[in-house]
Amino acid sequence: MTRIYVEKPASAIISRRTFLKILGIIIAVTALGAYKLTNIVLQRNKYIKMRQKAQYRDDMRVRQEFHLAACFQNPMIKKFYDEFAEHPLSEVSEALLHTKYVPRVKVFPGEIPKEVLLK
Amino acid sequence: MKEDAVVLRHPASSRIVHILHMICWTALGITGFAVRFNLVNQAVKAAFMHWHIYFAIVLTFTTIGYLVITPDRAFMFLKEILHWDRDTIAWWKNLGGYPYKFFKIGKPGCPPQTKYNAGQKLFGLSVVASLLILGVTGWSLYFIRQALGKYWVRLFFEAHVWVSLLVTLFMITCHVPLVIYNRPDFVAMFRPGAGVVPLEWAKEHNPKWVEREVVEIKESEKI
Repeated sequence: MTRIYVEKPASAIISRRTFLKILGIIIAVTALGAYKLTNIVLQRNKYIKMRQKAQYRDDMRVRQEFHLAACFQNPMIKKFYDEFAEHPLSEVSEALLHTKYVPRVKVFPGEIPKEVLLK
Repeated sequence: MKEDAVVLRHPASSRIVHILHMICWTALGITGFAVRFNLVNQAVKAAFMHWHIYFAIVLTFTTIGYLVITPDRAFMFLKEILHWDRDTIAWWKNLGGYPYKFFKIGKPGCPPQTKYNAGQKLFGLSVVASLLILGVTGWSLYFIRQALGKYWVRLFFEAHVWVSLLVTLFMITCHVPLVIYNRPDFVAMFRPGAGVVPLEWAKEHNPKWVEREVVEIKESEKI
């Protein structure tokens, strides 16, 4: 015959009411944090995605005009890296091509109308 | 008639989560480190990144499922690894006597421990923290890379790699060898049927747990 022992259930340590309280607080904090974070991310992504879309459109135009399969076959890009910037992500290309996103409101205070910012 | 006594150490939900985590962590480690440390060619890297995401989805949903479906088990686990008393601190003085057992270094003996010893508690805490860090950094890198910006992408990526590497090393060098050495615990986790260990073994390794938190169940409630 085998005698079996088990751990006392969680309800023996913590009451249902306390457990629901803790769970409620965790869900509220997580939901509020997630809402705020999603809002920030959506705001930031909006302009980045617009810029990205424009770049892809320009790239497609060039490829269609010169009958290229991929953007890295673009003769202008090839020449730029061969003769000047060495390779993608090099110091030169990083300094010249990479974009830093900063709030322009702080750089040019008062120059951007409020109604534009609110859109 | 001989009378045996066993104690349920790993309930079914904990075993399912542990085994799924083990499979996912191994797959994520292999695919992730192979890509980060350039151990494979470009084509394999691309395939590995797909697999990395698939296993990350399973790992994420397994963890969320554990919290949502069995919140009582998750609570008990967190309560256990967060409970550090005087004996937990005393365990670190001679690392529970393991160095003496293996290499005759330090002193023998082990202060009475609860369900997990101090080393297991630290490992549990590091796994919980790493799951949180890896989840946040990993899914942020996947979904909101552009919004993060260059600085945060670099920071999140490095945190993702080095936290996972540290915990994996902790796992390979301490958790895996010691759990295989403590055979009844290992068997309870992977045997078919209930995850039980002999009561005598539990009394020797986890006396405080047996004394305070374990009760005998009636014949009608047997697993």
